[in-house]
Amino acid sequence: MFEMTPKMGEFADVEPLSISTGLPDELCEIMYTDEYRELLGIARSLMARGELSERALRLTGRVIDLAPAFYTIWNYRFDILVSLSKDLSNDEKVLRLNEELDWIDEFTLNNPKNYQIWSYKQCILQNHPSPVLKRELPILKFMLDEDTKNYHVWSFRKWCILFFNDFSNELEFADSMVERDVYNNSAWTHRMFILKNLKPTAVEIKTEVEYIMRKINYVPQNISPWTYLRGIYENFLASKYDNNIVEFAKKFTSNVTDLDFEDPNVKLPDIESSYSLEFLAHIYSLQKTTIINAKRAYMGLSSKYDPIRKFYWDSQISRLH
Amino acid sequence: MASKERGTLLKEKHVRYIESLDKKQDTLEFWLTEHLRINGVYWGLNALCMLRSKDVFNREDLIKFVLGCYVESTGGFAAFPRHDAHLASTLSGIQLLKMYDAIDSLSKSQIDKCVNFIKSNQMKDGSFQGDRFGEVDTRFVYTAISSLSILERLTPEVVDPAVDFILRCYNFDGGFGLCPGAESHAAQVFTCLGTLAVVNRLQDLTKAQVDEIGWWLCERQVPEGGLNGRPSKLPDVCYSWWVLSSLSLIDRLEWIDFEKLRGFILDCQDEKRGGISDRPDNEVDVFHTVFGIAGLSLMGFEDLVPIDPTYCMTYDITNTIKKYPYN
Repeated sequence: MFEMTPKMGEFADVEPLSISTGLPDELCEIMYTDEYRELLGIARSLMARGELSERALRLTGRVIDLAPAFYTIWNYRFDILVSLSKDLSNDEKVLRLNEELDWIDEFTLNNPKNYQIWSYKQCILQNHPSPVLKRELPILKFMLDEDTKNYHVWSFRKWCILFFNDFSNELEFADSMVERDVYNNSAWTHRMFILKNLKPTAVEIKTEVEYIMRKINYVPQNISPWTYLRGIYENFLASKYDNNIVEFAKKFTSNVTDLDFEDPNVKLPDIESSYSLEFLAHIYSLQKTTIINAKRAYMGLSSKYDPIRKFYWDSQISRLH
Repeated sequence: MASKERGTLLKEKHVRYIESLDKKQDTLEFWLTEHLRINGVYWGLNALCMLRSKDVFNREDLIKFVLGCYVESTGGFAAFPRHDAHLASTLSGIQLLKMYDAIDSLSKSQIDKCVNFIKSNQMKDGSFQGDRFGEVDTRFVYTAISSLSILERLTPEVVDPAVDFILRCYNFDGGFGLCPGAESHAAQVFTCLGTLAVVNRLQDLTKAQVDEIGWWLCERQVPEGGLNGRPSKLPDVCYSWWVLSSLSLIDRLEWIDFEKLRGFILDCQDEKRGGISDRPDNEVDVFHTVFGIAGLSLMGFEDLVPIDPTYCMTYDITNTIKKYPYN
C-alpha cells in the first residue's frame, strides 16, 4: 500500500531540520532510512519552533512507531497533549485523554517490552479528570498473560492500585497468576504487597498460611512460597513459629535434622526440598535447644543439598552457639 | 570438564570488539539506539579501563562528544546531542568526563546548572524521577546521588531523604525493588546499596538486614554457575556485576562460588569476534561485555584492573573523588 510521506502531506510547509549531529563522523547519515530521516527532521523542526498542534501530535505517533525508545519524542507528545487539552471542557478533556489512553494501549500491545509507555501512562492518568481503574485492568491482565514476570507491568499495576486506592481485585488476581505458574515470584511478591496494605486479621493470616501450604505441597522445591511463608511469619506473626509449621516443613526433609552427623557411617538421604530444610534451619537456629538441629540442616545443605552456596552455609554454621 | 580448564578471558579480542563498535555506524540499528549512546560509550570505556586499553578510544573526540550531549537549557546530559537530558545519561556523561580527568572541561556555571538539574528531579519522598516526565525508580536515586558525588556536591538536604527512600524499598525477602513494595531485583539491590555506599550510610542497615540481603544475593547463583536477577529466572552475565558488586559492598563476596561463575562468564564469550553475551551462544553486546569483565575483576581473576563496586569505575579513578560527608 502506498503511504504518503509526511512532506507530501500536511507538512509541506515545514522545512525539515538536518538530523546530523555536527560531529566529524557524519558519513553514516546516509544510512538512515528515508522515512525515518524525514519524520525526524520534521519533528526537530516543529520542536524547534515549539509547535503544539494536532498534526504535531500525529507526527509524534509515527516517530514513536519507528523509534519507540526515543524518550525526547514522548516528552514532546506529552507537551502537545497538555497544551491541546488545557482549554477543553471537562467532558471534552475526558474524551481527549481516553482517546490517548486507547492509543497507548494499542501501542503497548505492539511493543510489549517498551517501558517508557508506563510512566507516560501514569502522567496521562494523573492529568485525567476522571480516571477509572476498571479501564486499566484488562490491558494489565493481557500484558501479564503474555509475559507473566514483566517487571514494569507489575510495577505499574502496583502504582495503579495505590493511585486508585483499590485493593479489592488483587488477592484474587495474584492467586490466578500463582495458579497458572506456581514459580512466579512476581505474583508472590504482589500478594505480599497487597496483604500488607489490607491489614489482615488473625483468622485471615491463618487462612493465608494454609494457602501457602497447599502451594508447597503441590511443588515443594520452589523458593517463592517458602520465602513468602517466612515473610508472613515475620510480618504478621512476630516470628513465632508453631509446631504445626515445623512438622509441615519436616515432611519434605526425610528427617535429616534428626540424624547423627558425628557417626561416620551416616548417609544423607535424598530430600524433597532444600528450601524446606533451610526454613527449618532458620527456625531451629532461633532457640538454644534446637541449635544442634540447625547445625545438621546447614551441614546437609553445605555438603549435599545446595553445595554451590557452601560458603554461605558454612558461615551460618560458624555463627551458631 | 573442570571449570578451571574452560579457557581464559580473550582480552585482545574484547578490546578489538569494543573498538569496532565505534565503526558500526552504517547500520540502522546503530542509529535507532541513539537514546542509549552515551551509556554505551561509558560501558565501552569502562571495559577498556579494566583491560588496560583506555587509549583505544580517542580522548579528545570523546570529550567533545560528551560536551555535545550537555543540554544548556536544563543543565543535564542527554544520551546524544539534541536529545533531552535525563538522569541516567547525566551520570554516564559525568563518569566519562571523570574517567578522562576532564570534569573541568565544564565551566563553573555549567556544573552549577547540572547540580541544579539533578536536584530539581528529587521528589518529596526523597526518590528521584529520571527526568521531568516522572518515572520514579531506585535506579535514578543512584544515578543522581552518584553524579552529585563525582561532582563533590552532595548535601544533607539531598542525601537524607534519598536514604530514607532507599530504606523503604527494602523487601520482606531480603532484596530491594524499584519502589516500595516492588519485587526484589538484583539490579535494584545494587542501586540501593550503591546509593548507601556513596553517601557512607550502609550502617543504616541493621545487621539482620545485611545478612538477609547477603542471603538473597547469593541465592541468585544457579547450579550451572551463572547468576539470575530474580528467583526462578534464567542466569544472565550482567548480574555478575549487579550481584557481585552488591555482595562486595556488604563484604559477603565469598558467598558466591567464584570458579563456577567464572566458567559461566567465559562460556559467554564470542571466541571469534570478541564480546560477551547474556548467555552462552547468544549475540554479544557492549552491556554484557562490560559487566562480564567487571564481574571477573571483582573476583580478582584475569589480572584485570580492580573496579570499585560503589561507582562502577576503576579505583585509580574513584580514589580521587572526595568522599561524603565532607567534614
